Amino acid sequence: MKAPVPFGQYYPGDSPVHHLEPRAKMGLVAAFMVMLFTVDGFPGLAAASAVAAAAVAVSSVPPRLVLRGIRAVSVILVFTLLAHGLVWNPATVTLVRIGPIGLDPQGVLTGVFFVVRIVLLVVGTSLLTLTTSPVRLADGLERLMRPLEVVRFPAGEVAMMLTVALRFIPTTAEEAEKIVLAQVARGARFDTGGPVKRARAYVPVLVPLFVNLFRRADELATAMEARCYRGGTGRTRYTESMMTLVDKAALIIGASVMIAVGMVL
Amino acid sequence: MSLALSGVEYTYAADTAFAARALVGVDVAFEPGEVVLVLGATGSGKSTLLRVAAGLLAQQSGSVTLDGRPVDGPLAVVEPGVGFVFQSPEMQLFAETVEADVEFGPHNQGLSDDEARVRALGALSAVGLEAEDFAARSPFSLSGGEARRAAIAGVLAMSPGYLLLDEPTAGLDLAGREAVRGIVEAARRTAGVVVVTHASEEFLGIADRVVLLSGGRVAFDGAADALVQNPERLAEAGLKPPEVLRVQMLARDAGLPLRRFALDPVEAAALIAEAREAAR
Repeated sequence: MKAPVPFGQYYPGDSPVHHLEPRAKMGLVAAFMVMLFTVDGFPGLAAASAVAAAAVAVSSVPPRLVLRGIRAVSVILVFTLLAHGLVWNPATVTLVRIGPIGLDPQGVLTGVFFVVRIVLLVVGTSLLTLTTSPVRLADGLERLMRPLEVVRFPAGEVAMMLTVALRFIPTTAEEAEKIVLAQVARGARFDTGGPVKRARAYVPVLVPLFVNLFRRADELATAMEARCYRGGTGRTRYTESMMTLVDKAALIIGASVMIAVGMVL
Repeated sequence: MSLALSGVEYTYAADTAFAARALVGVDVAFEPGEVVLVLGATGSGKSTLLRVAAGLLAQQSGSVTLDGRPVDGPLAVVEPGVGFVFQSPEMQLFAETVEADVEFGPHNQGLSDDEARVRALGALSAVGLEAEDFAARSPFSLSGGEARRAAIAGVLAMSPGYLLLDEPTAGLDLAGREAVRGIVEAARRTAGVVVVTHASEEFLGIADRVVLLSGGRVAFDGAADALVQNPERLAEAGLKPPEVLRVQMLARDAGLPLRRFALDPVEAAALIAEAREAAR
């Protein structure tokens, strides 16, 4: 069955995390990442986990939605764990040994450390997109990029591209699902054969999907021009996002604490 | 012999905050050779009903049986197949030529190239796209109506025992709508046909039976004429009765003793004239 909320898609809510100004939220997520990459032991990861758990609890986003993103990186997680845990011809004591391959306890611990770090990274970034609507996210990014306009960086255009891209992710996913079902109804199978056969099986899905995407992009461009879109220069927003005192305080205090904890633990 | 749904329940995003009940205890059966119209307002569960019937969605409770056998998974390649024409099916076209696209289904059924070609040419002819003009063309060069017919041919080529169509006339011009109506009428000779539509006026005249859905439940399941004689049922289910019926409803409300309602405008005019005579 189709997932109710695709990974990373906005989950409407009325929590303090939802109300936080997007720039403050992005700053806090950046600080959380700094914290994750500066801690060098499990106490530090425990502190980061507490921060993430608290943020998820305050956001009122169901934890399983936040954790759904982990599925997308599951291969990386398994690879990370095995890359650290498995040793060839181990000289020391191993947990398990099959032929020349052994499972090194210290390596497993290191692997778990990196796995938890990646999981927390996914949780932090997922929470950002789950609690910030695409329009507010693009608005925040545009404001962050605005100083770069001095060096002729097209901040407005980039923000518009991001808004459009984010807007069409669920539409495209829905359309892909519909085409898959339509081809299944014509007897197509996507779960049989080797990797090459499976990849070829997706041709009847990808061709119409791309044709429709190009067609839609063309129609959208025409519709935007018909409504006098002439690029980002000089455009204003219907609602301007403002950093309140609470946003600034949350950003400064939150980021300082996280970075400090990261450096200490 | 039927495609039968019994006590079928389906909820999208079940057990989440987004849960939406689409089908509630639905009992309905489709027989070979009949045209069944499934009507209902937006969100009434029409498309979900078709997807469950075609084995593309697994119901959460209840059962679906095809000629007495429980359904488990997509029914495209089983016997007798269940063909599904999605809304805007032209978006599924992908091959280099129309013929290759129509042959996609028969090939998936395991037919040889020759057999698939015979099926494809027959299906193209059935939808009014003559092979000599259309078989070698790119599906992306077809007009909207032609692409729709080519996509329907892709399903007909699989010789389904039951043909399910989801809003088959949506977005088509008058000629396209009439062509699709003709295809549906012809398909009943070889299959049980189920049409989900908002445009009741286009199919009521050729339907044997109507299933009216309201809030995921079957609000009416009976002969098409029984619904025509009680068009208020359509309004109760959130649908607008066809204009020709609305005129007769207004005439009756104005006091004309209409014997019955008719879908055919000429017959409706005669009935109104007859009622006016009787009222004098």
